[in-house]
Order: sequence, then structure tokens, then C-alpha cells
Amino acid sequence: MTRGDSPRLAAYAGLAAVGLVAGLAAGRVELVALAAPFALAAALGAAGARDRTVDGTVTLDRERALEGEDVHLHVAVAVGAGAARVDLLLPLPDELSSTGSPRGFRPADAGGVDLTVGCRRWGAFSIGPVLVRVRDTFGFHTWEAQIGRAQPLRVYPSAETVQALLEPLETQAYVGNQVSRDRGDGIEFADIREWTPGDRLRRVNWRASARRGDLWVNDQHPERNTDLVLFLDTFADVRTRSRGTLDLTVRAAASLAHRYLQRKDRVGLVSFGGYLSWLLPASGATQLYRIVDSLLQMDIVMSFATKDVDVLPPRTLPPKALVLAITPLLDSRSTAAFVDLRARGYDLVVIEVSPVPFVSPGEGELAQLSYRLWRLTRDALRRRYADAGIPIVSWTDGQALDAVLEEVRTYRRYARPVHA
Amino acid sequence: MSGAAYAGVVAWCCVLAPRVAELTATIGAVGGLLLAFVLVRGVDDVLGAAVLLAGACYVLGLLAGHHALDDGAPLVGVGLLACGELATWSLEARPPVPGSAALTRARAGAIGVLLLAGLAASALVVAVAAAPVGSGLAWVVLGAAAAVVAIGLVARLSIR
Repeated sequence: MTRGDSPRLAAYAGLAAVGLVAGLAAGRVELVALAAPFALAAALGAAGARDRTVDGTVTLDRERALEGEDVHLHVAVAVGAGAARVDLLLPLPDELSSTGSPRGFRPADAGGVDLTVGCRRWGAFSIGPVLVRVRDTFGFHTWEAQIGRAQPLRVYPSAETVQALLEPLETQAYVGNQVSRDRGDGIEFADIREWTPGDRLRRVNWRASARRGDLWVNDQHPERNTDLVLFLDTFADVRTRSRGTLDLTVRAAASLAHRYLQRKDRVGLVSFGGYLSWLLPASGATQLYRIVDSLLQMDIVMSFATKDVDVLPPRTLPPKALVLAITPLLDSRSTAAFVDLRARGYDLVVIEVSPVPFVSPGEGELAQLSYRLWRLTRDALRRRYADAGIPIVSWTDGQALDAVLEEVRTYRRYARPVHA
Repeated sequence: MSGAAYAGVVAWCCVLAPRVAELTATIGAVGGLLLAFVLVRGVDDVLGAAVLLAGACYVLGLLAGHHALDDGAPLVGVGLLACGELATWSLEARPPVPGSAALTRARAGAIGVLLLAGLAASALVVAVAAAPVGSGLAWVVLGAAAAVVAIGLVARLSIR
């Protein structure tokens, strides 16, 4: 608790002293009368200069919220007698906003103050402690203190609607919901073939066998799981005041991880940027929490270190995994890493989170020319990926992610996968 | 309102001694500029100086004017106190932490009580001075003691 005295209190005492001395020296009682109100005010102020107990609690109604939602903070302040006004200040990070500015309260009303905190952007935050300032009746003294503990708040990114998922070119060995291109035991019919020793009787296709005079059996596509690696480019972010490419990246990654994990697939995460982090592919609800927690702590860290995919542990990129790269295509290290991944035979899809809507061309001929050159460079880079056989689609803010994935599906339907 | 109180005090000082009205008005104008600076920029560091200049105007008017007891001294003192209190209130009531209506009423009441008490104390001083109780060394000692107490109070507040 810190006590502060109003500077006017010392000024009043000084004026009173000057008035009294001047009155005494000049023999004019008017000067003493002039000083009397100030002397009275200074005496009142000096009498109230004592330490005061300021205590209270801060309670958050929940620890988790979605982007765009509001959470409520209950602040209870207990101050002793003699206080006339209680001011609350809630320091918040830029991603959170307090609806309605903090107001001054009478001590009787400050016993239960509800503040609304708007979650404007995803992230892991701590709210509190709340700063409290108590004033006395005449405003001569203030007492400032921090009350309550820091309350954790996790704001999850809002989810994108994803109806149909991208199917990888190859599946893994474990049972899942994805119909494999391989043949084996399953539900989906694949083809018929001649009977071989070891084939079970129930697989015999009697109609085909009767027509051909030999035993023919049905082949099925087995249902297998897939491995998905969300490869996030976190080297750079382009943002306006409230939106940015990193926000879109995180939102897309969270939505895709949720949907793939629902399908019993294994999902891994690689944050490829100034700060490198990864999660090995795994399945289940626990993995979803791990991924979302990892996404909440994701940030852009400036780094000039040269990085390529060799710095990643091999298990983060399992063979036959679908690597879904989400990138603003702003850093040459990530663009080179994608080409490297494709060269290593990974089933790679690049979703370009377009920074173009967040960039406004400057005024003047040179700025306009720079902007056009930048757009052309990006087009050339996309062309380079297409030439390397990497499906690349552009996703802009406000566009449905489903439409983007459908574009990739169309590309892959007509393109022949070539293993490098 | 703070500016009005200040202007009222300076005007009274000019009326008190028309002979030095120009000088009084000049000093008062400097103080008024300081007060305007306080109110516009929201810094109360020079508020005491503004009030002190108004007090200097009164001293000038008093010394250059008539030698009879000025009955308006309590009003001048309360006017200067009102100037300081209202200016401070104006600064405190600004965003980002506005107060509720109940707080506004409470603060207005507190300032009113303080001004009335100051007026009473000041009037008491004038009344006691006007009373035929004589003069002598005792009164001088009492005045000196009051001055010492006031200076001690300033020192105590400064140390804190």
C-alpha cells in the first residue's frame, strides 16, 4: 500500500505560513485572515495523513473463453472508514478490452463491482491484480494498492467451419476412418482378383466365380488413420489493428486439428519461425488440448538465424504424413523449407494466408511500384510451388476455409502425385 | 468556476488599491495564466504558485490601499481556497476515471463544508482583531507561535 499526498496540501501549508509571517511582520490582520482558510485546510490534511488498510478480492467467472466472448470480473474492495472515493484500474493486455472504463465508486458501492472484459484476440493471459486508489473526503491523500491475484484466462481462437477434410495420398498402418488406397480387409469395395491360398471363404465373389469358372475374391480398401502435420510459418506476421495473418493461421490450425482429431487421425504441430517448437503426432482429446495450448502461446519472434527442416526431429514429420503448411509466404526460410519437404517426398499442401488485405499500398509512384513488384514476386513464388508439384491455395480473411480446401481437392483430383 | 473565483479575487484587489491597479492586474494575469496552464494541461504542480500570486495581489492592494481593516479579507481567503479546490476537483474529475453522480455530490458537499469552515475561521480572526481586547507582547508572541506552527506543519508534510 502506497500513500500519496496532494501537492496542494503542501502549497496550502506554505501559503498559510507565508500569510501568518507576513501578517505578523506587516502588522495586518487581513493577511492572517487570508491565511486562516489555508491553515485550516492544511491542518485537516495533516490530521488525515495516516496509513490505511486496503484489501479485496478479484474473481473471474471462468478461465476459458472463445475469441469475441466476454468474461466477467468481480472485484470486492474493503477500505476502512474515512474513505470517500475508490477508483479501480484493471491493467489489460492489448488483446483484451474492458467494456466501459473503470469508474470511481463510493466505498459502500465498491464492495462488489462487476467489470466486463472483452476477449478480442486469442491467447493465454493473466488478469489482475487490480489497482485500487482510495481518496479521503477532501482529496488531500490517496492510498494505492494492488488487490487480488492474477487470474489465468485462456482465449481460444474462434473456429472455422470445416465440412470436408483433405485426404492424404497415403494412409498409416493404424485403423481409422480414412478409406485407404491400399487393398485389404475393409468395407469399401476395391476390385476382384483370383483366389489365392489363405483367402477367406467369405471374400469369394460367387457371381464372378460362376461367370469365370474359377474362384474370384473381392478386394476392399481398408480403413486407416492418417498423420497430419500442421506446419505453421511463424517467421513473420502482417497485421492491422485487430487482425493479422498469425490470427488466421492459428484459427485455421485449431479448426483443422479439431476436425482431424475427431476423425481419429494423428495430428502433429510444427511452429517454424524465430522460435521453433513442435508436437509429435498423436491422437485423442489430450492432443487437441496440447495443440491448442501450444497455439495460444504462439508468437512472432524476430530471428535472422538460418533454419531448414533438418533442425526438426525426424519423428515430427513421419513418413506418409500429410503436411499442411499454413504460411503468409513472407520469409524465404519457410518458402525454401516447403520446397525441401516436397523434395523429400512429403505430401505437402500449402495454404497461403494472404497478407495482401492487411497491406495498403503507399501513396506516390515509387510506393505503388513497390507494391506491384511485391505482388508480382508473390505470384512468381506461387508459380514456383506449382511447378514443383505443390498445391498452393490462397486464403483471405473472411473467406471460408472449406472453399480453400475444396480448391486443393480439385487440384489433387486432376494432378498425378509424383514421388520425388 | 475556479477561474471565476480567481478573477473575483484579483478584481477585488484592483478595487482595493486603484493606484496600483495596473501592477495588481499584471501580477493577477500571470497567476491567471498559470491557473489556465493547470486547467488546460492537467498538471497541478503550479497551482500553488497561481494562488500565491493572487495572494500577492491582495497584499499589494492592501499595503497600497487604505489603512483601515478590510472586512473582505475572509472572502478573499475563501475565494483563493475555492480556486485551489475547484481546480483540483476539475483535474480529478477528468477521464479516464470519471466518478458517479453520488461521488460528485459528495465532493461538492466536502468542498462546501471546507469553504464554510475556512470562512468561519477567517471571519473569527477578523472579529477577534476588531474586538477591543487591546494589544501587547502576548498577541505578538501568539502570532509568532502560530507562524512557527504553520511552518512546522509545512516541514512535516515535506518530510513525508
